[in-house]
Amino acid sequence: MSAPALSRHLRVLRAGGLVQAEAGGDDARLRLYTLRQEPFAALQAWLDQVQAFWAEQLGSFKDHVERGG
Amino acid sequence: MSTVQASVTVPVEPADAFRVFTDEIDSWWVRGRHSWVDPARAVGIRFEDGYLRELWSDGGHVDTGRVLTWDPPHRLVWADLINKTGRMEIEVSFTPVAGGTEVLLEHRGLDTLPPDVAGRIRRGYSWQIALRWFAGRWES
Repeated sequence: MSAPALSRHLRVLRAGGLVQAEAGGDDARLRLYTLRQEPFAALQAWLDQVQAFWAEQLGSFKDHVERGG
Repeated sequence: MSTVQASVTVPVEPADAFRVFTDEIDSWWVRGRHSWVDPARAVGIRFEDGYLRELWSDGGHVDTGRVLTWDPPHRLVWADLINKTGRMEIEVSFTPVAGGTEVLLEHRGLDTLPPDVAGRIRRGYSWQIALRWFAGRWES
């Protein structure tokens, strides 16, 4: 990947809040990028919520079957 | 990371499991705050005319899913219609196992929409917008 292409990708990730950038000390050209954990934790929480929803629905389905309809 | 699964094993043949899952969904569907598109009006749910349909107290309804595959006693797939721009699908498979039928549900395409504050599915966003929304929740 070329340096300009890499910069473009990083800009999109930063705009999306997935990475954060810091100045790299004395060298003004240098930027240090780090991954932010929070957006991924939020996504995982959403998936967990959906999983719990379906687990509850299927649990109720199973109870209904075992009662004989 | 965009798919969730849930499964149960029920003590009946796959054909019966499929029939109860579909024909009797209104009897086993958990009435919760996340269970409906319109909790104030919703009174029931059924598979009807190729759709998964939420029925309302005023006689109206909303189609929440469009059936893509209806293959008793093996497989059922519907496309989510609530998240208009997303590509969510729910697949339910019925597999004979010792003692009955394993019912495996897979909800795919969850990365095509964000959670809203109540955790309910309301409207669609692109993956990029969803990521921005996830990120935005955490900005001070």
